[in-house]
Amino acid sequence: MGALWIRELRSYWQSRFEALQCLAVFSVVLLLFPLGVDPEPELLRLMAPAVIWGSALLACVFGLETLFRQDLREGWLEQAQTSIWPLPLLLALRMVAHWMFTGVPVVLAGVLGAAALGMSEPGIRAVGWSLLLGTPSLVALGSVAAALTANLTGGAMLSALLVLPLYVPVLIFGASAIALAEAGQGTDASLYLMGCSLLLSILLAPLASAAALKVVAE
Amino acid sequence: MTPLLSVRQLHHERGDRELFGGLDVDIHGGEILQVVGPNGHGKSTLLRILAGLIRPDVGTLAWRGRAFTSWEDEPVAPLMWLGERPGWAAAHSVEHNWRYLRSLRGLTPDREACWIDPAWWPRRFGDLSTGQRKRASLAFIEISGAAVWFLDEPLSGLDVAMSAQWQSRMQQAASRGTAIVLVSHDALTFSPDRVLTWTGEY
Repeated sequence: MGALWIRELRSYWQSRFEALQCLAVFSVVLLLFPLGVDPEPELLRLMAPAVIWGSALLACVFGLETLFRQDLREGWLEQAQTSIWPLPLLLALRMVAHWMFTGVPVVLAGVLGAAALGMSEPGIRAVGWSLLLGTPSLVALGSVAAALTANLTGGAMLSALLVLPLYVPVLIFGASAIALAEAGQGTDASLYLMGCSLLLSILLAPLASAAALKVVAE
Repeated sequence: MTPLLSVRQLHHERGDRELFGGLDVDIHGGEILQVVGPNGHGKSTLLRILAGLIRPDVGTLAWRGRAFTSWEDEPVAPLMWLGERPGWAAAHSVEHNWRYLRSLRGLTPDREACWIDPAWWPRRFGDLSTGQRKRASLAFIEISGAAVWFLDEPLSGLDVAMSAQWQSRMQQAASRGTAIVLVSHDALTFSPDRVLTWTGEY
């Protein structure tokens, strides 16, 4: 099991600059938005939740293409299917590694960005928590779409279309947690709901992705 | 003797074409079965069905006399698979690939003396030549101790000498009790125990 995990980390470490493109997308969108509007602190603070979550979503969609494509091309799936490990478990390892290299940088950059947009301390904390709970759900939900489109050329566009409706609840709760915190209200309800959707997606996404990959590979 | 692997009444369609209509295959330990036939008639599909990668539309697959469900939860993987793509990551070194693929199958990950040239271990798999890549993946299969090997075109990409070497290695493995199912267009230097000529007609 250890060796399996090490290989996932090594894969992402070797292509770390590619993985960091998600961070780049997130930062660029976050930076460009304030430039396009009147840079009033009040206005920026009002827009911040939507901007942060919108760019986090874009960044996640951006990274999905790399999730399974290379492996499918190299024939990894057959080796995984004839192995002694359940395919969903192997895919779950992949998702965790993917999140560590694409999601975690976005969480950290999101906290910095929130500070830069002039948010209050509870607001910044809400950004951190909501991204921490939300980005793994985005990766897990996205993995299903990535699996379904893994051997299509131009599958990235299709997987974005497939996955965006699933992302909407995460976006709504994530942005509302931040907005509530900024308004000085409790964020627990939104964060709990995000936690629930995270648990649900972690449980179901590996199973769904495994089924999708098998169908795609036939 | 119960066959290692057997398929009964196999029916399978691809698109709207019937590939198999009621095929029975038995694979016994120590036997080399060559599947030959023209392209596009489902040889590789048959191999995938036998290896449990595809569930057939109709038909039963039995492993050691019991209905096959999956290879999971076996302590050590009882089968080896070599498809048209070997499953080795081009970006990783031969040794890292080796350790990973061994762990996937529940084997000790340490490298062992085998058909792999010792100089290859630190090299990236993607930097090896086509023949070297083939040889590395075959070497991995050879010392796995698995009961059945499924090989799709194992000789393509190997030069004449290497191809002959690999064929004698397959025979040695079969004499130790390994069952080998191979799809190959190449004429073998030995005569396999059984040849299944698959033309897609009955």
